[in-house]
Amino acid sequence: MDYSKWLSCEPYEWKQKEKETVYLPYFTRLTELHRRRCGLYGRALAKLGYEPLHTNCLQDIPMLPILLFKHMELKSIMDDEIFKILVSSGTSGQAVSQIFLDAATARNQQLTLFKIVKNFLGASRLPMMIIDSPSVFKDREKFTARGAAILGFSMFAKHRCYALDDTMKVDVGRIGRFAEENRGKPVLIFGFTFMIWKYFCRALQEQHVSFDFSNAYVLHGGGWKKMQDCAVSPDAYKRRLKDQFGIDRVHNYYGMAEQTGCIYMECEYGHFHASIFSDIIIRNARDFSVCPVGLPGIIQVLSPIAVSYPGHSILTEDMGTLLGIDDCPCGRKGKYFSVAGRIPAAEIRGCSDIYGE
Amino acid sequence: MPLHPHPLPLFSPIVLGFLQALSEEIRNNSVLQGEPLFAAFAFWLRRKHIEAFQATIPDWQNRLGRGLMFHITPTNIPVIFAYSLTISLLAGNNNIVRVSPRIRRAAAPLCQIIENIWSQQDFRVLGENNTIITYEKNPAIHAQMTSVCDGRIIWGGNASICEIRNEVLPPQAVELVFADRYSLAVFDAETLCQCTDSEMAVWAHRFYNDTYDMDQNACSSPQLIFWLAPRHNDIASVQQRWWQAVAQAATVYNLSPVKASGKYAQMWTYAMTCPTLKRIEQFDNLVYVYTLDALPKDITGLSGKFGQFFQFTIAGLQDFTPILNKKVQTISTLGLDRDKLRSAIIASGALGGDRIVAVGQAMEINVLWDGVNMLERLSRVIS
Repeated sequence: MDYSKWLSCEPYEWKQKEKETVYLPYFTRLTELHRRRCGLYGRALAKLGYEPLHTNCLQDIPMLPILLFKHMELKSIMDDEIFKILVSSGTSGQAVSQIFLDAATARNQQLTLFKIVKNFLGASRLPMMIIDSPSVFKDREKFTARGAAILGFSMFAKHRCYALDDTMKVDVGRIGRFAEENRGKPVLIFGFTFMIWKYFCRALQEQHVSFDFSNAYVLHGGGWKKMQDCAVSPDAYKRRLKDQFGIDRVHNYYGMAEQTGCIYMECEYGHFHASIFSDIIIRNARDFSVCPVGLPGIIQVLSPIAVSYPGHSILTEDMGTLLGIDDCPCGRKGKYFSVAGRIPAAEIRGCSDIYGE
Repeated sequence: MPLHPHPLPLFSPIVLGFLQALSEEIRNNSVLQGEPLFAAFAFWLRRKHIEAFQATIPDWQNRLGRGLMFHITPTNIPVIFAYSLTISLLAGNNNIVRVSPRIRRAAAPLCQIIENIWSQQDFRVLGENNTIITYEKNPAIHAQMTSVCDGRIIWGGNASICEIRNEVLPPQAVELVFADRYSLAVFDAETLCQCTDSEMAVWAHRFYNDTYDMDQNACSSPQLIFWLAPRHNDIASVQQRWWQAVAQAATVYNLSPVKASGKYAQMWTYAMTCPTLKRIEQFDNLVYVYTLDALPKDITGLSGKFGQFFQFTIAGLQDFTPILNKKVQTISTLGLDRDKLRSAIIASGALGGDRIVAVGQAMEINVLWDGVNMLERLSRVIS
């Protein structure tokens, strides 16, 4: 597995065709590796009748439903090789995903994230303000995806500052000092989409204070579900950051704990881009056939980094649409797409349920 | 609320008249006439079908209703409450029917029709003695209703049943509960081998109605198929033909992304964890078939939604009856003699298996349900 070589490449330079030429043999081998090393995964492939010889294109690589990371311990390493167990930040009471990382996989996640984000922020490290509370790291037992994202993006930080105190209250004094110290210099503001909205935009507005952050980049991720709940569109979100703080450079990213590192950054045109470090395929729910450009379907994600656990090809629970290949006006090669959010729930019929949910 | 119960004889003319009026009104209702669930209910209410229930209870003319029945009905099918009400009315009872707020909207047109008929002069007595109510889950109301009723009908969910049972019934009151059940099917392999493609398609369509129509989530929808093949002929090819026919019938199924994704995750879970699983076949995402090479101790864990079927081959009924545990309800059959199967179940002393129907009838609600004649349980005989 020669993933490290890719890390010296520019993240958006491969055309889709060359990318797939590299991906197909790599993913076929990676599938084989997981089949041999992860007992549960190997058993499933056998029962499902997977034949490596019949893998003629990337879409033939089996895809694991993302839900299984919540119910099963899936790892392709020995217990003494476990470096970290990454836990998705589910709301309390919900089952959480467990992702088993060895040192090499964890390192590749970091390096990959660095390469991707650098393409948007440039090489130099920036003062960074995190719209979160330092208490996210209090529980040393659990390495949550939220903490992992903060640590990951902290690579771009010259120094770090948390905008919220331990009780999740906005710390106006600290934000003020951060703005003052870095006046006129580029800074990075990072946080989860919803947290920036609630604990930064709305909290500061309620206190009737405002700051000029026209020099800032905002990077945010974690999904749009809660924003949908309060009926905020991506455009309205951007407009708010512009109006309240003068921020122009706002980049959302799509990613998940099950494939940390290879995030899908939103370009200047509002499109999510697959870098050379990962790929997406949009699947039709009816038969999992591949959806062409413009047709919405379930998002499958492929990550070459997932070596210590069988998460190199995952069927997510998100809906998305492929917008184009190799031809985004921003100049980045490969696939670009939009994300519609979680698969909508539907009424399931049946009997013997007098209370429901 | 009907506080002074006034029971009626079974199949009383006023009730039969009401049910006929109801059937007609549903069929003429612009909102409901196109809805399969309601259309099926209207069809079920036809006079001949209702009167056929008399044969299930030969002493019906010596019987009278018990009094006031309290019904707690399901949240996810907006018509079960009406079946529950109908059967209890036929048994001569007055009724309080709780309809969940979750389905109140879907059930509203039907409730409206019922109440309109009850307000007519001819049926006013029914209006005085019966009521359909909606309230959020509330133990205090359950307790109050329970304390005044002569019988309680709970349409399942095991957890809900246990919870409601905390409210103690008056000493003489009866109770009907419909717990979580499990259903399966037995196919005679030879019969299917002899089927032409078009005959096969007809059976597959009926099977589709038994399963996909309710997202395979109804207690009576088969989950596990037994292939009865006394001679070990080439059963794989007829199985293949069968599932292809089912996949064909299922092309009309609305397999939304949330169902496809849930189903796919379930398939992988079985692939990883089910030790008796030999292989999995997929017919697009419409049909997943799990072939077993042995049966687990408790078969009722083998269940899936949205078109997932387990299959296992047996040489004779003696291999089948021992697996019928308490949870097994409906046995759908194809090419099997019902009496023979019933005798086999009785002879084996099985704890489960309440109902034998031909493929295509699994979803048909009957007064005989879960091994009980509801008309009998909900009435008293004057001996």
